[in-house]
Amino acid sequence: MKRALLAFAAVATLPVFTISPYVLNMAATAGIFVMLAAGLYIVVGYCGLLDLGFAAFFAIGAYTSGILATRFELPLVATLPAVLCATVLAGIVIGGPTLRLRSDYLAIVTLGFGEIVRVTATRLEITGGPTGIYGIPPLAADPVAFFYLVLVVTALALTGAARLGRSKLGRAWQYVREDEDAAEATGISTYRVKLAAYVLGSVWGGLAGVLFASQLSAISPASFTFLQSALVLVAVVLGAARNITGVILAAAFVAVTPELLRAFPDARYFLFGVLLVVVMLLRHRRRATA
Amino acid sequence: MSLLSVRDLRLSFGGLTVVNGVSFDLEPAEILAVIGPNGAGKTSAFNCVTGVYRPQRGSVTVDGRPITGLPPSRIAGLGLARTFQNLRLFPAMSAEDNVRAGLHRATRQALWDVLLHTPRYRRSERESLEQARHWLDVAGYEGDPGQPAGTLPYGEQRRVELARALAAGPRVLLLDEPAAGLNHAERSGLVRLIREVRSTGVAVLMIEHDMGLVLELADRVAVLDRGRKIADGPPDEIRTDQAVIDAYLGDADAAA
Repeated sequence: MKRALLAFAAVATLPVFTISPYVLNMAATAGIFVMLAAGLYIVVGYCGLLDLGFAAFFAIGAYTSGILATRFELPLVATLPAVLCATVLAGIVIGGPTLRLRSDYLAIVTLGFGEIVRVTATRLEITGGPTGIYGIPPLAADPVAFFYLVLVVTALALTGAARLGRSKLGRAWQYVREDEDAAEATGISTYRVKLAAYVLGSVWGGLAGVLFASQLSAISPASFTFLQSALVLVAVVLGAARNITGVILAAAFVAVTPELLRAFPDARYFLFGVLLVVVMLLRHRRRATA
Repeated sequence: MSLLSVRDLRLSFGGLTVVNGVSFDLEPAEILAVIGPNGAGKTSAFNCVTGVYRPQRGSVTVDGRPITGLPPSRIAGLGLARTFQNLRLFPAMSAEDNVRAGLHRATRQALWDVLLHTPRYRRSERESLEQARHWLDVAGYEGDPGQPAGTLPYGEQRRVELARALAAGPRVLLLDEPAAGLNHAERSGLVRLIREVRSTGVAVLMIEHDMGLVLELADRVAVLDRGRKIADGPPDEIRTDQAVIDAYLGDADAAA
């Protein structure tokens, strides 16, 4: 808890050193990505469900708020209730039937779901087709203010995820991850527990999508590809030594590294991949010697 | 009306019938041991009772209420708690968190209380922790309650599993080979514990190979062989039953 507050305070001093919009923007991007990872951590880290289409909820959040804000000239904050409803509904529609099956099927269905959402957004008129939606009003226009907004929201999202993990529900998620049959035999309705993880994770993802829409003011299907889902999953897997701190660091790493490698446009993702492998190996060795 | 009543249970996988018309009843505070050679269908019958398998025929009722077809968690909620033949703990989680699984149904926590860490949440967490430690004590657990269950010695793991089952406050305790792999001292601890549990009115249904333990503890013994029940009665009667002796020692004529 103390360490978390210290880290929060340390990050909060960033605008003291620089108010370069580029740096603050990158920090906000990293923050949004950390929030996404916190959401996926509920699903994958706690509950052990493999979700390969998490970007779908990111997209649903971003599009719901973007469409409502631009069509009805609403401030972005006013779209939050609708975003909550949309993500919960999507979570139930996808998770409801799928989570009755063994966990392996979820990976396939979520993979498909991610693509369906992206392709649907590309085809529909209301989502602006391939060009997407632009002119989304920001939550905060000033880069410093937006940076702090992202920082606070992400901190709340992380705290929320961590607290859920230390509750009855969070323990039930971990029972399911550890041994689903034993959890069921102990009287835990594993179906309901898994659905709760999936729906809560999607709410986190949807709210991160609202921040994303606010940051870019324009969204298009290109932001919600399988690569995005895969990167969030990479962050969770890389960071999940079964605690949420690792996920924060890993998510920041995954979000910022490709940006820092912009100087090498051709080899960017190649270098990123190599770095990922190196980090994974180092982490593995540290754990092995610990 | 019996507490637990199993009627004409039949279970087959493909063409292989593993449980074939098994019936038995269990009353409160009764200890019923199910014995039989390997492959007799003991664990399969157990799994039909707890909802892991759905039998093709027959019924299982608790207080006259049919439970066949219900998911295992619902059946557990009706007061049936079990342990597994090969321990099924949550290895990465602490001993006390393992036991808290048994308390899951009795613990009430609203989402808001969890997110805001209200006094109500803190109280509920403290209570469930105290109860988990209490049940670990009852089960004779001597290790560190915070240690990951997967790193515990075998005997301690068994106690954690028992504590988890007891924490659910069952009316029927189903034990699948509870004495397997235990040393002499651990075994007598188990006998004491089962007697203590029974004295509170809980019925015990156990599969056990250790005949000494069965004769010492059981009020009644049911013998299964090749999916059928071939005998049911007090231990002394079972010991001298010809069909049981044949099943265990092999049919002398067939062997010749």
